[in-house]
Amino acid sequence: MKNATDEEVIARLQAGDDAAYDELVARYKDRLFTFIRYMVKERTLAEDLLQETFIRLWKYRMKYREIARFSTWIYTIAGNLVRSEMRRKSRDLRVDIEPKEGEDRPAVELVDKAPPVDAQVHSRMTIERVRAAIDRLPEEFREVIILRELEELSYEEIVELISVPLGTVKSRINRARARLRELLTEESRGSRP
Amino acid sequence: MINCEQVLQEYWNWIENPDAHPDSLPIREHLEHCSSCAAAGEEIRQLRSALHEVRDTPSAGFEARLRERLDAVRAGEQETDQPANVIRMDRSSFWKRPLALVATGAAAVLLIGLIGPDREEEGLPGLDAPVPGRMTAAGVQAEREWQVEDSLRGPASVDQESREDVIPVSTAP
Repeated sequence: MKNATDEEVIARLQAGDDAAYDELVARYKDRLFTFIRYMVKERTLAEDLLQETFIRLWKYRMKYREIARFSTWIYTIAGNLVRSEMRRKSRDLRVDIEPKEGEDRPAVELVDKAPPVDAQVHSRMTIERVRAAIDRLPEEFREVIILRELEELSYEEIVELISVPLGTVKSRINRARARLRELLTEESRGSRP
Repeated sequence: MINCEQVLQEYWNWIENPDAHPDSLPIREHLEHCSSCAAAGEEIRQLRSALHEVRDTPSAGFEARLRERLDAVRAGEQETDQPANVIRMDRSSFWKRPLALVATGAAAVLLIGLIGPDREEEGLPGLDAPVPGRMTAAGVQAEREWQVEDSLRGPASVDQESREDVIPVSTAP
């Protein structure tokens, strides 16, 4: 089964081979977790949504038809769960963004813990700094950066997933890359936008 | 002649597939003579490399927890003898939806009016013949059917407004 395509594996699952389910989980667990984690910015929540994605894979396995790629199908399931969660969070968000008494910074820090001074001599592209910069990207930029640079999806796959024209996808990715570089540059200079 | 702004705009696309890029030669030539762009280009390479390293993984035990939950789902399916493609109503969330209550009540009233006592039960065990005020088998079926997510459409046609709980399918059977 290791050499089978995703579409062949889902076909086996639909035929009743439960081992095919485990194979799909193994193939997509890390990829989907990366996508979900960077979109919702919380690991625990990301695991819950990842679990729900795979439960839905099981529940709706008979609904898949090989007109769309399996990867598109399962990323769409995950993406829908992410968007539902983010809509829920935006409705429920009650955050005190005013500085508390005695503080001169907002009560809510938007990610990005600055590295210790001695670490600043290292390359600007440390993993934590890049993660923090991704978390600071606007949602639509963050999504395409994750899908293109982390998940390494093709432009066409991204078009299918987020339902925008190819030109828009390319433009958005270029702008997202530029914004990511800006954030890293600003952070390394010790300033914020 | 390609300038610095153009080189930096295209650099990322260029390094993805240098030979396929239409401006590959001008970009190479520019980088040979422009140390500023060469440095910026190197920065972009490092960022691209770092992006490949920031992938994350779920915690240990994730698959075991998933298996536990899946076993519960499968046990629930077997209990009701439902085929895998029938979506069970989540009663806890159902009763939180007033519109669902109204819709179900209206459907039940309509069906009770339409269905006579001779209507054949649709293979749903344990249900008595329809009586006034009691939901018929068809009413139960309607109650279940409304819960089927309206996602029997392909991913490209998923409506933005109704994306919540939408499961894409390639075609409806």
